[in-house]
Amino acid sequence: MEPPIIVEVLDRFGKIRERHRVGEFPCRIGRGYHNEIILDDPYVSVSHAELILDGSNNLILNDTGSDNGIYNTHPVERIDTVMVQDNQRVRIGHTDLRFRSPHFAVKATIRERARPHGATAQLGLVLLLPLVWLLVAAILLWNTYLEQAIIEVTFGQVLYKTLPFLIFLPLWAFVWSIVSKIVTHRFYYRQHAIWVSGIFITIYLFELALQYAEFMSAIDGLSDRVTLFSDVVFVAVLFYGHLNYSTTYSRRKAAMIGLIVAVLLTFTIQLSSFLGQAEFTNTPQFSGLLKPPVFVLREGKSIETFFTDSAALRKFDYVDDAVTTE
Amino acid sequence: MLSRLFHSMLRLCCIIACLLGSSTPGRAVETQAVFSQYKDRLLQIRVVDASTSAQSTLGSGFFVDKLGTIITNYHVISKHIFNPQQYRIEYVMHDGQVHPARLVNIDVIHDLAVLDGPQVSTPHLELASNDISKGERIYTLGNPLDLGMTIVESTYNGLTDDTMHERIMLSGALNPGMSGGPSLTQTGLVVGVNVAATGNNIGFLVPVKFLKKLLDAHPKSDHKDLLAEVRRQLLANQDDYMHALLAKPFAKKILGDYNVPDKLAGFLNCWGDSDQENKPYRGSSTFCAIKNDIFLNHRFSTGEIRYSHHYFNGERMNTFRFYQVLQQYFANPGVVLSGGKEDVTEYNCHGDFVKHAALQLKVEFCVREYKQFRGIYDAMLTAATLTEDHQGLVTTLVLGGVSYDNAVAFGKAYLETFAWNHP
Repeated sequence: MEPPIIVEVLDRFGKIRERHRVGEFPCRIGRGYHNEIILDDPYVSVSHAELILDGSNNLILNDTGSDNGIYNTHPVERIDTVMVQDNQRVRIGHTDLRFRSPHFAVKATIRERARPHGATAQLGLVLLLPLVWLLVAAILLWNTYLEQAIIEVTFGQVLYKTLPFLIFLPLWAFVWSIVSKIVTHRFYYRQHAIWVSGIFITIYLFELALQYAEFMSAIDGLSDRVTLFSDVVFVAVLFYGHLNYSTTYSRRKAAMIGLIVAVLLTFTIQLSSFLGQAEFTNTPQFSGLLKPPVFVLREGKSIETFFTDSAALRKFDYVDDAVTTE
Repeated sequence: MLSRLFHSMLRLCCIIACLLGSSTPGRAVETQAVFSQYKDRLLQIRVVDASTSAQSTLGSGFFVDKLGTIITNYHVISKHIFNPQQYRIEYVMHDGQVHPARLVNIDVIHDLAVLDGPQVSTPHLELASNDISKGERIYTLGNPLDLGMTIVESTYNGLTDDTMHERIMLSGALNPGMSGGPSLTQTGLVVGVNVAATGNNIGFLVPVKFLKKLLDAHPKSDHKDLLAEVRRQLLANQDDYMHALLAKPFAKKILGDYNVPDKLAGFLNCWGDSDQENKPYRGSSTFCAIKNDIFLNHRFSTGEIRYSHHYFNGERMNTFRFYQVLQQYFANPGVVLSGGKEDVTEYNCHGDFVKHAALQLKVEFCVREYKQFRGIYDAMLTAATLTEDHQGLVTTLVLGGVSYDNAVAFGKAYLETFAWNHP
């Protein structure tokens, strides 16, 4: 390598913390304040290493008597002196140094996401939010009306029960807008409110569809099993969206992180509920879903066939001191 | 004439004297005499916890032969049968002597137990061989609330009507601790063994005929034998009443527009109710249950038969909302049977659509097995009609301590009774 060079100081995860343009030699590296490159790492000696040019204008890195030495990273081996190559990486103490030429090509600039522009886009957003909120309110009111089926209720009573959640949704959107303002310097309340409401509507309709699917198929536990999978997808999409919007991660990286977090989160929640379910219960657990007769799409079995299909119920596996002799 | 008058007055005085002689103080003397005569045959039965050496259960008992054979209730010694290492049985005689006892036989259906102790040549009670009449005076002995041996004068009221297992009903103050003690005629013959009380001076005895049958049965050699006997008795008992119930078509009645099973046997108690206050629908319910069940241990009883029907008419309701009502009853049948993790498994359930007699139903059938008595199950069947948009029925059946085959046979007969009565 020929001078000038760029010395990158990396953290343990490979992220660049500092860059130093080095044109004059020798360039001393260490923890002491007399060095040209000062490293804040307690495992680096006061005078640790130096960069020099030899007679052939090659860049040489020398160990100047350090306590912990200099290590090449690929392969990992201790070195006292090395001719520095372009993109070479060495470890000094717990700090990595990487050497680049000034011609090193950096990534392309990331264009800032354009604000919605034009009257149509602005108008669309303005009208869309109240429509979405009306839809959410209608869903919540209908759901509460159904849940209160065993008593006479007035519209006022249903509205009263639904009000806390109707207030919660816009507040939740507000909180996320503040987070967005901190991270990306954009508040975007309307967009967040539409997203939060949209996610709520999607989840509600999806769970409703699952309930009807479980009822129509008469497969006990169908919605629980599908929900387990869909929870992972929802959370992964949520994390991917946020990472993609607020960080410079590539789409692939954002997707991987989203998926890993979603799997871990869902697993932790399922484990907690599984441990709760491990408690013995004296009540039968079954799908008690009932929907109007129009959703019964297939003919019922005969009573005989139903009990024949139930034959496996009598088999229980457990270790005990059971008495079986007559 | 004077002598005739004198003799009439003398007769009158004798009659008055007799009448006075048969009043309360005389009866008290009899009661005292019965107690004095038979108290040496009475025992307090204790189940002692081995780790603390403290009494865990108390009851009463009595010698029934000169070899020292002792009678008490099964429920008094039930802890020993399930955990013989942890609990031992001993008995206390009228003079305070304490002796160990060995469990020899049990009748879990009639709540009786036979013990054997080291005492021989003991005075004992004789068993009555003839029935006595309703209204006769009997004497109930025992150790209520660990307060000492007592005697209670009671009135014999004959056998209970319409119970699954015969019991003698008496009017007298039976208290906890008197379980297992004898009830005697005036001549000291045992007519029954104290078993239960409802309060309000109503008590129950196990008739002596069941005691005789138990004493004639072959004694059991060890703990495993006794548990096997419990299992055998439970299976035989449920076979008997199930065959009787299934021998004829189920009685039906009309609820709304539906035919539903009615009272299926005399030993079931049935009630009905309607509920329309502050509700958007009209509802009627009926509920039937057996009057007594079988005690297995302090956390576990079995032998239940109960079923309920809930009819709903929601003409003014939206169909989705109406079926939400049905769903609340269908998903929460309120079935909570006794038994802990050591006694029973969790339920296994199977659900599907069933079609019968123009009725479309959603049916769930759940069973759980008894861990210490394999082949014996608790079963639950719940069904909801799915035929009309504004009318529906939810029914729940619970059977405790039955074989799987009997649970299925009864479940089939139960469902086959339902029909839609709509013209």
